[in-house]
Amino acid sequence: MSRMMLVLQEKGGVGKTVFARALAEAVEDAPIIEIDASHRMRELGDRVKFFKMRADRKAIERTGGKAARAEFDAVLDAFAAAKVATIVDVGANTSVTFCEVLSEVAPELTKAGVAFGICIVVTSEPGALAEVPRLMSLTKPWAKTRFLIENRLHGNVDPSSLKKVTDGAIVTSFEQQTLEDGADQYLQAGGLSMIAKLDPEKLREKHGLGSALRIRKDLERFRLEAMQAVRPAAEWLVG
Amino acid sequence: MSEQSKQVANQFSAADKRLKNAKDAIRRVSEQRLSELMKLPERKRFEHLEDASLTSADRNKFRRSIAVRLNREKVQFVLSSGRFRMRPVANWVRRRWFPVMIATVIAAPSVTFTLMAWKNTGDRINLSKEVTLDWKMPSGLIEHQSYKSGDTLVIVRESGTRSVARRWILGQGYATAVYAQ
Repeated sequence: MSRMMLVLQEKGGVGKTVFARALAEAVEDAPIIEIDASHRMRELGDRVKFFKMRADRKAIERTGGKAARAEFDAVLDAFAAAKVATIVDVGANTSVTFCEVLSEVAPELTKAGVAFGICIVVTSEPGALAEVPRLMSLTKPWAKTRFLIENRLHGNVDPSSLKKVTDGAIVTSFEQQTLEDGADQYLQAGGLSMIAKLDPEKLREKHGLGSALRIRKDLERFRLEAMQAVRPAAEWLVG
Repeated sequence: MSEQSKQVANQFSAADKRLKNAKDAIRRVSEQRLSELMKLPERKRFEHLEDASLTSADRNKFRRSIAVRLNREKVQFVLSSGRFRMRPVANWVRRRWFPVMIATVIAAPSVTFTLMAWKNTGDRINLSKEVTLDWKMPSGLIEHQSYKSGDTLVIVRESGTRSVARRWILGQGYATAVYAQ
């Protein structure tokens, strides 16, 4: 049996790829399937199998779903071929359509030995919160387990709103991060996996001693806290 | 626990350790820098108040070192300047310079505010004759108002035979008028 953890959210800018990357850090050898309009997790090299989605979802929807199905065929083939625990990052504007298509084939894949876990990311942004119930209900029939990550990027999600959309999922939170000036450029350029590869000498030359040390500390904290937010999902994935 | 589960647990321990090491490195550099700065003459220390290598805890220690030194210097200057003739008082202050400094810091604003309040508090007077005042309202408008003998006014400043009367207009502020006695 192979397990797959799908990281989902229809709205962009919620930090979905950060948590997919954090899962990749926690489960070191897990292959990754990236379904998105652009290939973002390049730093992970051959670990990532990228499936390009057309950015214009509306154009796809106008075809009555046929185009969507065709577009996801290769992804579903990759799912069927998976033999080990796999991380799946589903890009913005794709999650709902993909889950609808997956709902049709999930029973077959389950019979073939694939177990699905779902990890939905939510922020206090109303659009992101509104998408959670839809994703929860779409995935409930075939997901073995579901996780909800509250990304406090824009502040805490209202606790009563969060409770309403949880639907039995395991909830974790990721605190708002404060980074030293200059730290963000490393995250943007190399994701979480480059943090261990940063050369302290070069950092010092570029930013000065104090700033270089703080950049390093902030990046390590960011990585650890992102990993902690996905820890229950990572443990299920390898369990 | 499966081999993969152990690997995941190891990844978390390693990430935790990496963060701890990063924090330790900051602490080490800060401690080293603090000990260098503490060797500087007091006056030179001012140039390093915002030293970026210091952690906030060490920066506070550094700032306190300057504050303590300066206060000690001030006390020593006053005590040695000859202004204190009473030896027992000088000795008492020498022994308790820190609480005295704290008490002074706390008391100074209170005394200042009390003096200001006292200076700005008006005197209530009873008019001995009829007068008409031109009140300058907080909005800048002038309002005429007549008063009978026996009415009261609040006077805040006096200069020769001219005084300034004041009254509070709810929600607007004070109106003032020149009152010639």
